[in-house]
Amino acid sequence: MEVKNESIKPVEINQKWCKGCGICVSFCRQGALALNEAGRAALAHPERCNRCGLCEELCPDFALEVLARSPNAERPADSGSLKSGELAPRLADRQSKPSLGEPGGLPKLQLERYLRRAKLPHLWCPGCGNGLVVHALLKAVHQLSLDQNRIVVVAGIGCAGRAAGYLDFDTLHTTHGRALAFATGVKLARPELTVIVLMGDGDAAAIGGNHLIHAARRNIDLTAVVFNNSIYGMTGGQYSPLTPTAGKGTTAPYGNIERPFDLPALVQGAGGTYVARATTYHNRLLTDLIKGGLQHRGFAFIEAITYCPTAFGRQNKAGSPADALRWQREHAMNVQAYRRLAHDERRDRFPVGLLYCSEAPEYVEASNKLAI
Amino acid sequence: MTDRLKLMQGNEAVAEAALAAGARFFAGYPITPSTEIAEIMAARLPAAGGRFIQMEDEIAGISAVIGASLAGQKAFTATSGPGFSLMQENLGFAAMVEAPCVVVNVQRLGPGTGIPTAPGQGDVMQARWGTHGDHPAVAFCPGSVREAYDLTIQAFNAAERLRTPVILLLDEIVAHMREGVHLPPPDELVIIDRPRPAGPPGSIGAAPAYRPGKGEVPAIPDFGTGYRFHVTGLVHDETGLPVNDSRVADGLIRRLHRKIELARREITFTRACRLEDAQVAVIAYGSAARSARQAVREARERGVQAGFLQLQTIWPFPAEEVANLSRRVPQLIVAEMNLGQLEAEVRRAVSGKAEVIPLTSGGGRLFTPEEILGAICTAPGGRLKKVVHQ
Ligand SMILES: Cc1ncc(C[n+]2csc(CCOP(=O)(O)OP(=O)(O)O)c2C)c(N)n1
Ligand code: SF4
Ligand code: SF4
Repeated sequence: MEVKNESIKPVEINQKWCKGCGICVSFCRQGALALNEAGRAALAHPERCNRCGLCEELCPDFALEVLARSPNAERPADSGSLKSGELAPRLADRQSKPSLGEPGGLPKLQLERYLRRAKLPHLWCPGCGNGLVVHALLKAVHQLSLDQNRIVVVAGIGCAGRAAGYLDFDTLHTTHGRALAFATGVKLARPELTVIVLMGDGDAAAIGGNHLIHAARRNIDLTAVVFNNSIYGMTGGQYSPLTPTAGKGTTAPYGNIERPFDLPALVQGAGGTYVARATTYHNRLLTDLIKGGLQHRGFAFIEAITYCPTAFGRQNKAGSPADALRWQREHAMNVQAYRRLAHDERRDRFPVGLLYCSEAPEYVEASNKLAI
Repeated sequence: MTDRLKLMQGNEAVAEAALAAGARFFAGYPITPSTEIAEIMAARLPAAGGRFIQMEDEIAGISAVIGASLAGQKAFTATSGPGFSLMQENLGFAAMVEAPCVVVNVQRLGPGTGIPTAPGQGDVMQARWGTHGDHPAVAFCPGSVREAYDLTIQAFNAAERLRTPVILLLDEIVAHMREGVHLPPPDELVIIDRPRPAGPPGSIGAAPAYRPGKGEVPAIPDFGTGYRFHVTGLVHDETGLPVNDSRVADGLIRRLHRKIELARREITFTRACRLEDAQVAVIAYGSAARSARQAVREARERGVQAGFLQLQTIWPFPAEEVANLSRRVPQLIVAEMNLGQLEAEVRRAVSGKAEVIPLTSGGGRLFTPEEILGAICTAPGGRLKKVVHQ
């Protein structure tokens, strides 16, 4: 693979971090990228690149940087961005500026500002969606100009929980399922800190399900992001409470006979006041929703639909990481459009966006009042 | 001097001492016979500028306590056997991440639900080995209301200076009995705070969060103070970040033990009486120590050369003190409200130098002084000098 024109270098590729998952190659409409002999991404046709920035946005390994990117470059019709008007109105109201005009990725140096570089490349498999959730989280933190020294990230155990170790904040990697309970202690002890909780689906909904509903009920000011890959990734593919019925797991070799949770409905029912869902493909939406969650006073819950090519994908023949992102694009539907559909029209679609938002007394504030 | 004579319950003494020691965070879940501690903290903490939260279970309780501790608060929880069982995973986590905290376990009769309102001392080994992995343990065991007060202060102090969880093992009797106690004036209390970084973030004083300092204890910063460090229950290096290296693991596990070992003298509390010329001695802890003390007094009145060693620290086990005792006293009666948990430790320390005589009970009631007196008088050392009177 030869790079044709050395002088134009629209994309910088960090060969040490690239894992060759092929997402960028598959999504580049211009055909500018290819995998080289070493199985890493390379800019095969720099002259074709129109600097749209999509590859940067969809690389789960923070390996791509589109230099001098052009936010107005022609992008695929639905490149991960639902229009802000399509978000539920409350979120749009709350945001100071319309979020979708901005580039979705961060200029490289700014992203790295939030990463513990020495720990990268991360341990996630090639094409694992976890990096995309982290990317969205960091964009949200950056776009809100939050003070890096006043953020505590609390994570559970699992592949998702490992995110904490890569982030340059105060980070607490707890025990399986307990992240929200630890976070409750951190937040109560230091209410002025922004506390972000990262969990896997098993972490949050199985072993940690009790903490999830009670954190929601208390409406404590935490921003919880669940990396929902529908499987137990870390332990090698056992079914989780989010595995679809009939889906395969190593402990569901004949197909899952249980029904999965509807996590947003669960959290809303338990009393959560900000409930949202996006996919890793809809990275800008995910960023916006996390931003909304960070700004929300109360328990904010964001379900990030993500793909585990290794432990879920193989057993369920769900295809390459790029295939999975396309699946997300095709099956996720803006919540308002989704709600207009008749029940039988919904089939295998699922709603994304701000699904629910309300106001209720926040726990720490209620606790403050006792002291007076 | 203000009169600080108060009539109080053991659980109340724990709560008051926790406040005096600087505890400003409590998270827990109600369970007999420890609930009064939560109730008092719920009433008292808001005015003291602290936070009380009743969590959804004991796992959440200890999780929140560790979270608050890492955010810089002196934090504790209180429970009884069933809840203590639920806390075990995170107790080990606290030891691993070196989060100072105090866990009060008011022992009741177990296993299972047992008798919730009856005393027991069945959790002695659980306090030592309940969580998985090769971890150190510190546990104190008060035998009176005043001791509950003093040892609570000591528990917070030890937790802070060693950056480790400390277990306070009461039993139902000590927790619920009321005694008149003279509380020490606040200005006489020695209160210790955890080691913190010697300089601001980025300065020379700011060593990596987990670099061992004085006494092998790292000066870990509090969350939210600008150091931006990582805390994990995985094996980690000095920075706190995880590593998969068995040598690092070995070094870390050994250091966690060593820091406790180095402080052994400062955290070992025992009380001795009438041991000078004793031919037989009773070793006891918690409420059993009360009966033992009385029994020894009565034995002495009968001319038996009996003595008494109360263990207020049970972990790390005061092996040196017991070994010394065994060189002087040929017979040691170990009286405990279980079927012989600390007895094995005593035997290990004594290593054949004295005869070890167990006095055990399935729990559920206090030893009577007569029972212990009986054991003293039937022990060879007691029998020799025994004045027979029926
Ligand atoms: C108490 C406890 N039980 C079980 C485990 C083993 N374990 C580690 S991660 C995990 C599940 C991970 O799945 P999920 O939470 O969905 O996160 P993922 O790895 O998919 O990101 C399990 C069962 C554990 N670490 N602790
Ligand atoms: S998306 Fe990222 S990790 Fe995947 S091939 Fe492209 S540069 Fe490499
Ligand atoms: S097992 Fe799945 S979730 Fe875990 S790192 Fe690999 S792809 Fe990601």
